[in-house]
Amino acid sequence: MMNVIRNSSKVVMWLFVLMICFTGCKSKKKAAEAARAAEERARIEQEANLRKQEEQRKKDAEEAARRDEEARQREMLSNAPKARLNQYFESIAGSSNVASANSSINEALTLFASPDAPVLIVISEEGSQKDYDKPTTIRQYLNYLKDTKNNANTISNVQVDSSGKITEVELRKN
Amino acid sequence: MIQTTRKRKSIHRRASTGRWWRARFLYLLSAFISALGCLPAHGQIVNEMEDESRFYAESKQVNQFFRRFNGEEDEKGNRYYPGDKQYRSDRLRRQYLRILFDESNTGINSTLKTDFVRDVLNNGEKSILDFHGGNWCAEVHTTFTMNGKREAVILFMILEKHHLGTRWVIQKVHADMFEPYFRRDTVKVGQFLHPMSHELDFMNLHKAFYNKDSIAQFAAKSFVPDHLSLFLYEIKKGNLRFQTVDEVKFHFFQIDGWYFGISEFNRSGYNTGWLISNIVKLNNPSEKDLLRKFLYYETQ
Amino acid sequence: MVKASYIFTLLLSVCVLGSLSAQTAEISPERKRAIDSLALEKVRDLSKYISIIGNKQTAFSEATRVMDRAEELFAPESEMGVSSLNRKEISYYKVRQYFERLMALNYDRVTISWYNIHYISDLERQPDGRYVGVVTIYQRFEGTTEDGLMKYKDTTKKDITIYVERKKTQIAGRIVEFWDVLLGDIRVTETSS
Repeated sequence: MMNVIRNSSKVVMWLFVLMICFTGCKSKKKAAEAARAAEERARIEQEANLRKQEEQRKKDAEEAARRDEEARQREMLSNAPKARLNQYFESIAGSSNVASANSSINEALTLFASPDAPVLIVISEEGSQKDYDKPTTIRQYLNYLKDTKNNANTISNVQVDSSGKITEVELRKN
Repeated sequence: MIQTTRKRKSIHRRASTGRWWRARFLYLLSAFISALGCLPAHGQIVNEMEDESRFYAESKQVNQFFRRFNGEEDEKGNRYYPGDKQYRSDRLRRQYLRILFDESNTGINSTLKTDFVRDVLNNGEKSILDFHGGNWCAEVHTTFTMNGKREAVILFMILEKHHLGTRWVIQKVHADMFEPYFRRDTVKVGQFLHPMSHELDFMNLHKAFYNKDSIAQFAAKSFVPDHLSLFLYEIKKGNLRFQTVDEVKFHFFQIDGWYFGISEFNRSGYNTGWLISNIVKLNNPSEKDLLRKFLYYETQ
Repeated sequence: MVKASYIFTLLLSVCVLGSLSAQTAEISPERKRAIDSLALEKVRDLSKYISIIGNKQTAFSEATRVMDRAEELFAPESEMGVSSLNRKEISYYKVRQYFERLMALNYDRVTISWYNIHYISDLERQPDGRYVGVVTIYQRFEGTTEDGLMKYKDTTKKDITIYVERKKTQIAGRIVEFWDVLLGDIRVTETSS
């Protein structure tokens, strides 16, 4: 009997130990499972975030590309008259006779919305403060180029209207 | 005797050396400037080096005389400003001061020039000529016609602040044509209004004014005729008409202890333009006063 | 009471001094350089116009048009004061008159050229607030008749007055401030060779 009791207590002890282990294992397992689940969740979340970030980056890049393209188009549109105008300036100032200069002047004026389109000439700039020469009109300026052959100013900016005609020119003294 | 000869030789040598340095500076100045380009000009450009270097050496404007005297511009005439290394530097001023004298004037000896340059440089900022500093004036020799007859009129002009800026104004006039009207003998007894004239209501004025030639005798001793008033009056009346400006000079009393005058020299060579034509060392304020009166044709 | 009046006087003085200094404001060196460059350009434009007007190859109508353009460079009532080594007395001409005389010179060939040298004075303020300065240049003139018998040449120094004023105008609905540079009286002196 005593042996049975002794043995049974042993068994109980072992059962108890086993139980603890089992429980420990189980909770470990649970914990592991929970951890795995959490990991999984975190991983999923991370992946989702990454995807979102990737999508956002793609969107931003697309937006930037679109803006660049628009700016490039705008620049192309404004450069086109700017480049042509520059050519006319060179041609008028370099004309060997009055007749050809006058012809170039008449052609150049077709780029403009009006022969009285203002021409602003920047003589100096300090920060955002620009100093200008007396504003003139494009017709007067082209005649000035013909008379003096002084094509020393650079075209810094042209403004165009919706039909592509130049409405204002800004020059810069070199 | 030997010592005097030696001293004379030494002075002569120093003077020659000084002239040599001046000529060398002038040559280097003009050669340096000619070697550099100026801003490109449009239209035909004259490409004669010698002429150009002469024009660079010339003190072309009174303004340039000021800038060179003060050491405020470079050889090309570009302005130096406070903060620039060369601005008013002694070295630059010394170089310029050497070439700002009329070399043809033998009355300005080298000792006087040396003393002047030394005093100017020793006084530093106090010897800077100031356009708005007063103590300088223009002497303008003009020709007018007075009732059709050509007459010389000298205008003494100064700068005056007025409203937002400055202007030249006539401070004094001297015309020889006005002198005879005020000539009087202050020594002899001459004609006079006796001390009891007041009791007779000054009836003897009738006799005094009878002979207009002697009328100046009845003015007070302190009376000094003012030609400017006459000048303005005659112009207003239409009797006096302007013809031309003959010559312009300037007188400077800005440098302590010194007077100098400048004139314009239009001649060949490198010593041209506005140059010091006259210089006097003033040892005391009464000398300064005396000289000023002399320049202004003031007899009293 | 005394303290308050003292403070009031001090404040008033500061206001007055402030407004005075605004009235006599100096042009900064950088701005002066830009204005100098602008003034020099006007002088070069004038030089170019004079060369065209004096050139016998220039058609009358073209010379007249260029005279109009040249006159636009000047302030009203501007004059030329001319003297020579032979004739010291100054002759005065209105600017237009001077150009017309130049055009009417009795030479078949006229060459006008400019020395590559200039001097620009400081800008001083006039009583009306405008700035005034002087630009000095040198011109070479040569006139020859067709047969080559009559030949004249001279070199003249030209002292040209320049007026500089800050102005405002409206362009496309906005206010634009600019420097207006006009030429004024010109003193012409023949130089000694």
